[in-house]
Amino acid sequence: MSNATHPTQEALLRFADEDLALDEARGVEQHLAGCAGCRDEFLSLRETSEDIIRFHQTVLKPGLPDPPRAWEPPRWKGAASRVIPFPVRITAAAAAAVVAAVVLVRWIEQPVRVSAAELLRKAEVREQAATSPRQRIRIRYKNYSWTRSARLAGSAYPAPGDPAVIEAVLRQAGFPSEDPLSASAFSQWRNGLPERHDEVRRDPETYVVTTSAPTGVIREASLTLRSSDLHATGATLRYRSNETLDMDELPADGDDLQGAQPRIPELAAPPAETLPASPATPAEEVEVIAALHSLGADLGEPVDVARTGGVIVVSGAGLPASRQEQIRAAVSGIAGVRVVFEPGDGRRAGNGGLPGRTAAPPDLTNPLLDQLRAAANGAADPGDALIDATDRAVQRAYALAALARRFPPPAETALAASDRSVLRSIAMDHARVLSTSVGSMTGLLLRVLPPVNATPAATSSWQETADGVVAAARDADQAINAATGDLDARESRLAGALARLRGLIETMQTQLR
Amino acid sequence: MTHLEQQVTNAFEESRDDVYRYLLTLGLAPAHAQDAAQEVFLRLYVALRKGESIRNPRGWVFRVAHNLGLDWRAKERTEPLEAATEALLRDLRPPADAGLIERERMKQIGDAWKTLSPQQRQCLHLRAEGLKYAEIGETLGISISTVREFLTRAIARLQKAAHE
Repeated sequence: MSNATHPTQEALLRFADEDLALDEARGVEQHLAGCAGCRDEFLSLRETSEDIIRFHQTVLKPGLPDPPRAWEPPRWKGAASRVIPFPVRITAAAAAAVVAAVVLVRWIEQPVRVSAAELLRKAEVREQAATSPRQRIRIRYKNYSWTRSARLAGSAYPAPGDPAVIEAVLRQAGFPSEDPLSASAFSQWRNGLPERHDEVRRDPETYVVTTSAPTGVIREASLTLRSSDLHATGATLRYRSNETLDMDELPADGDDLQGAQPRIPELAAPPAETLPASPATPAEEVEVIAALHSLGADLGEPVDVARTGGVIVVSGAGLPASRQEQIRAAVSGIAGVRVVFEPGDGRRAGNGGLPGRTAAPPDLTNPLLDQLRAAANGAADPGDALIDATDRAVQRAYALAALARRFPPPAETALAASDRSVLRSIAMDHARVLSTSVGSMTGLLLRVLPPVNATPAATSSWQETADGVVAAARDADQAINAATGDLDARESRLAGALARLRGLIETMQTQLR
Repeated sequence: MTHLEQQVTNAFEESRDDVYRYLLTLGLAPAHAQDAAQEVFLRLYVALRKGESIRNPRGWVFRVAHNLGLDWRAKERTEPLEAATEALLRDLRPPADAGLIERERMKQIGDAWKTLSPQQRQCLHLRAEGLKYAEIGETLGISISTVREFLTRAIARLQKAAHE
């Protein structure tokens, strides 16, 4: 945008409110960088805009009268009865049948056909709400067996058997070991799969959710849920190596396992002040990153690695104790590493670690997703699958960019060949999942978008390519999730972003080889 | 409580007060505004139970609230909106602990706010509630380009007032 075409006030406001399409926003941004007059106008507009929000929050809303009564909790029963559509003219028999069907549906509560995702979500909610945790579970893998309390609290291992082996095989599979026999553990594993196929079988007393994956350590996993309360009673993980891991809930028999068995003393953290004996080198930094990568702790979790003054500090905040322990264990043998966890509330901080990404407010009417759903003609919701695939792509794009920033080309060149190859294998791993995710996105979008050809990328290093990958992934994410933009604008933006992504991934995979 | 009931309860607890206050600015009396706000969340529950796909419940509840508010006004044949809201805006006060400059600024904005058209005010109100332009357009039943125009004019007027 040249000085001859100053942006209108409307364009400046839309720029401030993130309502412009990306190319228009770039045009305004460039113009503002070079035009002091428009910059002043923009800053004044933004100031007024902030005044208005403050006026709304501190003057207008508090100045309005409060509700005359206390709020009542919503009454669902009455609401539900209003949704059941009765035919206008209805015979007595038909009416009885309809009423019976309605009663039956309400009584069962669960529809007979139920998706794995829905079932797991419901089971997770019940797990979170459950006040009495289950007693004991038994985990068996090859000749190893481990009977333990279902949920490990803190760092106490209250059980004999082979915890180390079993923890390792669970971890290898990406299965959280804190509470492995649970819908939430199963979901965590399932949500991390780039591709999967679900099946739900309903027996008289149970639901069995079976998810198979074409890639990854686990070939197929099943979770058995009691149909009366969706409580997880058993699970089987079938490894690609043809080994099987079984988890069963043991009946509560009054045998106080925790009291009967010796406890392994808590794995005490080294005092934070103790400096490691030998200074850490970039090689150790690669090793730390690889260790975190093996745990999937480089995918947006609030875990940070900083190398300062010959020490590598691995820090984190708000991680559950079991996760802290996994991380400690993974980096414990590496020289010059100090681990510092800020006390957290024990809850997983979700995507809190992703830099600069705000969760796009989901849209009420998103024409792109609506079109996609219409094209699917009632089959499984492609909108959710698209959003999942996009989230995975964005996650990997950020992981790649973080890796590239940590090891820019000169730092990478200075590494020993073996460390370089470890670094590149991590990047390659991210690139592979990214590629699969973009493949899923393109596949899902085939119903509404023509096939996308890769736009070749002209970058000189994989690190430079990683920057482009983040920009393109965010662009695709916004085209899908942004609350504004008509169908045509979304589609062309999305097609452009996917074409760039494919080109960048191809280029990066070549650069990493 | 089912998962769905829990979801809607959460949305209710989070947004009921905002919805109630928005309904007041549409000229509903407090008791009616509160009933309508309760009704909005029951409708959200019913819609979700029917399997309707609502990707942004907050935008949805403001849209339904707006329509309920208009229906109620039409049914009750209330006084014109201008007159109904004038009383509400008459006694606005900046927070007691605000500094002199802030009080002056809020007074300027408040005075200019009263000169805006009802639709301009509604656009600004919904924008301050975090709705995107498209959602504001859907709530008010106007096109997104009209939303942009209303917002631009309204903010320009307030900007002028604030710098006088």
